[in-house]
Amino acid sequence: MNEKILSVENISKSFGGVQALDNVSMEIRAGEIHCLSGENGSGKSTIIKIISGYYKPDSGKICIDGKEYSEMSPSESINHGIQVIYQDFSLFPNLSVMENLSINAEVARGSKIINYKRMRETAQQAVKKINLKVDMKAKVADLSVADKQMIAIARALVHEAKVIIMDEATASLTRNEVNSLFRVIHQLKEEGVAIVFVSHKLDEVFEISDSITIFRNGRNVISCKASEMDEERFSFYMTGREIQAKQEKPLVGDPARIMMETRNLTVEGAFEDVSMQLYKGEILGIAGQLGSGRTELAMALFGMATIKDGEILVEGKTVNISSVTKAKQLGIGYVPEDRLTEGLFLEQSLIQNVAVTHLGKLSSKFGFYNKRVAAEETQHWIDTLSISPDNRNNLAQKLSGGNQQKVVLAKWLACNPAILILNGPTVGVDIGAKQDIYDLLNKYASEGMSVIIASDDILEIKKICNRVIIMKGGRINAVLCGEEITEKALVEASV
Amino acid sequence: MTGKAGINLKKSMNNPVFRIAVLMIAVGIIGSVVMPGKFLTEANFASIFKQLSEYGILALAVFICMVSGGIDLSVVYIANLCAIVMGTFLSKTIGSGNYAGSPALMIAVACLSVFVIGCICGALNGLLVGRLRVPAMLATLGSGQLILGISTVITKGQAITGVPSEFTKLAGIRFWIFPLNFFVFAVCAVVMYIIMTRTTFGIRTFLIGSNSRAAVFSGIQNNLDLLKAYMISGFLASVSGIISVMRMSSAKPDYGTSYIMFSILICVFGGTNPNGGQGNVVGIVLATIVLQMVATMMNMFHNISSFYRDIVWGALLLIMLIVNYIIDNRHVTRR
Repeated sequence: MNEKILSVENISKSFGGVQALDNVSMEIRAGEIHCLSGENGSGKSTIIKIISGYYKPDSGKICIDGKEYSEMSPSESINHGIQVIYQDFSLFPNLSVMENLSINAEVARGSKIINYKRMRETAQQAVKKINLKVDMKAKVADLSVADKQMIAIARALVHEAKVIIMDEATASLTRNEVNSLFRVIHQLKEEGVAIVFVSHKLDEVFEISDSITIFRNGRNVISCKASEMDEERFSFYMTGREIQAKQEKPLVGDPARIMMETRNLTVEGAFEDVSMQLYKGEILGIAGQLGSGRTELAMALFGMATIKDGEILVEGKTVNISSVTKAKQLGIGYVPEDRLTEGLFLEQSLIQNVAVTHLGKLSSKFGFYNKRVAAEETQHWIDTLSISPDNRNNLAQKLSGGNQQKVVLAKWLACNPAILILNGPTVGVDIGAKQDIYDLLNKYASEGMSVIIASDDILEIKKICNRVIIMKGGRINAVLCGEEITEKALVEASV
Repeated sequence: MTGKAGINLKKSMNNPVFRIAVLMIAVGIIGSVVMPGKFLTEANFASIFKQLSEYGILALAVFICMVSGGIDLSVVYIANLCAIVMGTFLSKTIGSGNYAGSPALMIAVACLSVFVIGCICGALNGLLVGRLRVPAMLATLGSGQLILGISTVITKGQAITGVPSEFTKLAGIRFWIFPLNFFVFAVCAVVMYIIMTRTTFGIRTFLIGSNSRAAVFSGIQNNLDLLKAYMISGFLASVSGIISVMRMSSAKPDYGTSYIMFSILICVFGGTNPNGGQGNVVGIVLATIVLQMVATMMNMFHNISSFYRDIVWGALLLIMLIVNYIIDNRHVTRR
């Protein structure tokens, strides 16, 4: 076994009465890929921030290279070779690749005048380490998510990193991009760098990790070798309850009743010539990689795109969905991809967040808003969707990712839509809440609602869809049905 | 026992309305201690209530725009344009005996036309901000300058005087310590309170200010509601213009330019979030009264030159923004 490079011992941390970490210990060895898992709010981010020196622990110690610290400063952490790549990468979008790679080193050097030659050399060395081919002059804002991630990794390497912590590194990557990320991670491992890979995607965790640590409610519930772990135990440790891996058959819609149809639909720069049908009572999947037109198609069906050509029919009638208001009148609901910027009003109460889509129904004919009815209705949805904590006056920002997603779902279910479109419904949602959301969608679909799910999560599509449209390069590449839907077929059709 | 009360007090202090109410009592106590027998008098409060109405209404106008996530810097110029039109119209009709019907009818006609002008100016702002997505600060700065220009052309840079006494005498109407002006302010505040908390439009305005993108995704027509919000702002500005010409019996294009700053100060003091989505009409009313109390107190010290007043108002605004920052971040633990 390799030498221990970093460990934390008996770390506790509380925030205003909430115990975020409770006597947590874990250790990381050189050349090891260590997965850190746990549901949202289990303390994963807190321990990362303690290791990186952002938070100061209440008690416990951090050991690096045999030295013990009761707290760290961010610069001490960096000097010990610890690098954190956050979910948003913390890059400067307005600067070039070269500048992003070398600016930290240049700033750390403390010279007042910028030496462009030296910066270029630093940057080139960094990309060489991971064999990255990228235009040094390109603006980071123009790069794909995957390239941004590679830049962030390369930047970490500039600092002679010994431990690289990746927070939800694969959250917005397609499968292909995940593969190339994994190649780079393996390469770093060969060089003796320890990788802490924070993720709650089960398949990825098993694919890449040497050891696994799972947090629940601020405690380390298990640390073990990956070989000693299986999927059922993993789910159990994550949630603390047995989640029966239900293999329900996906719902089959009624082909005789077409709720929504597109004919040769084209949106400039996004997709073209898309013809599809949505049956009553089914859950239709739209799969495809980032940039395949998947997201754009989902948005066009909700009136968020300018249609260049073709037509959309709802229940057999040609309609012009020119705005969200129009879509709403036609009985279409839409759960957006990014709940924080597109779905929620973070500093407003749950009541307001649920009421927003149907304020008209919640008021008298003179436009006076009925607070009491809105509150009761919100309570009903909190109970139905088991949103916790179940206080309707809570601000949306206080909820965990999974519960926030349920609130976004509730605001559309409250409109009783005939067609519900969900774009990436379980991104950043923990296993427990994920299953809740699938159960809900199944329930409503079986009662006659037609559901469209646009997602790049192949397992999700496979699990709940009976028909899948696979987009590639802005066109429909394949339509799979029933037994044809396998992981292999989905991957093959989308790449 | 005391511990529990302490926690409740701390919680209450997070409520901006409670905070401003405490401040109001504090200012009252300081005033009566420093100037015994002069500050807490009927006459003094009559004068406080007389002066605060104009910018209290302007603050309400800025408030609704701030809640929607924007701001309205043109309110004072809209008010001045309205005052000028009102004054000119009345002196040309009632003043020169050149009118049909009664003076009261003429005043009513003038008020209605001025309301329309206010709404049109507000609609201009609303279209710029809602439809064309111009940042509210720039849009209303520009339209304010434009409106100032129009007023200057109308008056040829002169002040409008000689507004007929049939109109200006209304400003003298008083019920105990409350002048008519104050009742206009009170009515505006009550109506705004109802609009912002009891109507779907008000709820939507808060939501747009909280997250305009999520509002679009929820089927709110942002541009329509922003248009309405800025029209209400323009309307309130016109009301303020009417009562200012009534009180001063004169009007000029650049009257009361410091009121913009003052209205923003009131909004922030009253707990309105400058980033939108949060605010309370009760807070605005209390903040208006507190600030006028402070202003009156400063006037009573003859050795404080009026030159220092800008320093006080500017410093107060900055201090308030800093206090809000600290309160907002108190529960976020940092190193």
